[in-house]
Amino acid sequence: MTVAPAPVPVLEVQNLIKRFGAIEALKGVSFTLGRGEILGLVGDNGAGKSTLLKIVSGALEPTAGSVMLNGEHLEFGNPAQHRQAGIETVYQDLGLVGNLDIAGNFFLGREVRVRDHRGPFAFLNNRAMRLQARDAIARLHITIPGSVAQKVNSLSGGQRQAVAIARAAFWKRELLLLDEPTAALGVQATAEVGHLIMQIAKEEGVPIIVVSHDIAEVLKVADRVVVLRQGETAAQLVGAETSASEVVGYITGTIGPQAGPAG
Amino acid sequence: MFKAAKPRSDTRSAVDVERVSGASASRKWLDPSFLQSQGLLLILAGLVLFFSFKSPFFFAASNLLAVAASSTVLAIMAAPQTFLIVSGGFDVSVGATIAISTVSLGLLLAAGVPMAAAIVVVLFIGLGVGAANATLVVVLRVNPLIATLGTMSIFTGLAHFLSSGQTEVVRNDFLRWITKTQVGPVSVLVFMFIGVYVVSIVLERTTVLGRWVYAIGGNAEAARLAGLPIRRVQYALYIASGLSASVGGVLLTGILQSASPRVGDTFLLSVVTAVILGGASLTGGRGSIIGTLLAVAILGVLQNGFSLLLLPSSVQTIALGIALIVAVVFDGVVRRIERRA
Ligand SMILES: Nc1ncnc2c1ncn2[C@@H]1O[C@H](COP(=O)(O)OP(=O)(O)OP(=O)(O)O)[C@@H](O)[C@H]1O
Ligand SMILES: [Mg+2]
Repeated sequence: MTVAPAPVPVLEVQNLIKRFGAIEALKGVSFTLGRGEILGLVGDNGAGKSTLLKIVSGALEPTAGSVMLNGEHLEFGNPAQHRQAGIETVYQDLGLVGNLDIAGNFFLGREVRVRDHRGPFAFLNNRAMRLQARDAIARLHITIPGSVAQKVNSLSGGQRQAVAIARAAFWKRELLLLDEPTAALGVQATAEVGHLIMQIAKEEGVPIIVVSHDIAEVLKVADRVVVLRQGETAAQLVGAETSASEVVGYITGTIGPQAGPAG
Repeated sequence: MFKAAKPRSDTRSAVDVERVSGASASRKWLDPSFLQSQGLLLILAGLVLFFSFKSPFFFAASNLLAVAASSTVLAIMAAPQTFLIVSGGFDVSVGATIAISTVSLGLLLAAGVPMAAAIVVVLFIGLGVGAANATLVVVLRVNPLIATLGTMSIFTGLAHFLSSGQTEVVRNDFLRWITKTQVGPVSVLVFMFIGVYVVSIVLERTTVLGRWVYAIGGNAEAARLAGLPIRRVQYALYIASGLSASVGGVLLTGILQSASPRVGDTFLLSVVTAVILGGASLTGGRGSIIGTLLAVAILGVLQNGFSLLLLPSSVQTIALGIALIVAVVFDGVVRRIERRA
């Protein structure tokens, strides 16, 4: 049922524990991810999926455990460092700044500067940023009417999600983390994101963790599925060998160690 | 570094960006901050017209230049306060920083400390107040209003204590020179005013720092996730605010040729009024230097017009309060509109 880790894992998560006061959101989660692999991360509300992703992305510090990227330990609680290491994330609440325009969000913290000057007083090269943001969004085949110079505030929920996905797809080098990336998207756009995920993993070789409640969508793209249940790994399944009903069984607890008499 | 785009979009890229800025120009009319700056221009024009009819002395180049000169201290403090409020911060301690700065300068000069050294000490006082505010807000996570109210009380009290509440006469050639020099009809203060706003507008609109300030005020968590050095930016903004107030204190000492612990009292209200009237939102993320500039001009014209009409200064205080309330109400309305959009 479980899969042997790839010879050189891109990501190795070891025994992650995260407590929020009395709540233990993660109770020792471990898994590895190889080049080009797509990992579906599923589980009920509050199972700990977002917490796990945030620790890997550097947004949260775990109570215990470690995360290694290409064999090197990552420091925690410093999202900038994780981004520098090549990890990109679409957060569940997107992490966009509403009062900046699309291009501004695309390049936030990594602005294109006139003559590449360093420091906070460097001049912005807005033209270059707009052109690149526009092309990156076009690549996603999701139409956002108007320009990349419009504020994110003025976009619909799905359009915002598309911006966040396009941004992460543009910058990722080693690992892409997607927390419910298609929750606000229509049918067409969801299919586009599915294509994008396949292309990034299979053609560019960048592994992806995708969190979703849509088990059918997950099984369409995932090589492996990790099921979280109340902060614990309930199962690690091979995508091609499992079924939606098996995954749902592990999510709800009708299958697995603590399961009652399973029907 | 960036991926090759699909050819069909590649060929049109340049055109699209042009078209795109055109599209945003028509949308601009619906943008609340744009409307607000138009509104401010109208108010300013209305006030200028009104006072021109009411007083023969108002609409003269020499009087308007005097308005600019007398607005300089307010203007110099309102610019960093704009950045601070846009970033989600707030500093009501500027009046107290003026008081402690001018009193310290007076005492240091009276004690025979050389001019340059005295000014350096005073600037360090402003820097220190700013750093203390920043530490309270950024490290200890005190609400900015409460934190700076606290330091305001401390330094106002300290200024009164050090001066025993007395106004000290300060006769100093250098201070007179940096505040009373005229270049033709134009006071050197007006050049400082212009300099500060040119630099501020460039900072706001064209630099990485300017963008970060808006991002931090707009969504601090998203800014953190994007890896922005939030704490360093916040420290810099509080320190800039403190420094601007100590510069204001030095200038006021020269302008008034005296050091009084009460000289900063009116500035707390007028600086915040200028920034909020100028379109900055107390919740952060919105505001502009141009807006603040227009608001400073409105307050300066009001003050000048009122004194030309021989209205007592109490009327000005009332007008300032009304302006602040109108500004805050308008801010609330704009926020409601934005939320609905
Ligand atoms: N910042 C926080 N402070 C306190 N508790 C938290 C915090 N973030 C998450 N939790 C708790 O940790 C647990 C796991 O939350 P998490 O957001 O990881 O769930 P999730 O699997 O992503 O759920 P969903 O599918 O609803 O997004 C929940 O019980 C939640 O209440
Ligand atoms: Mg979640």
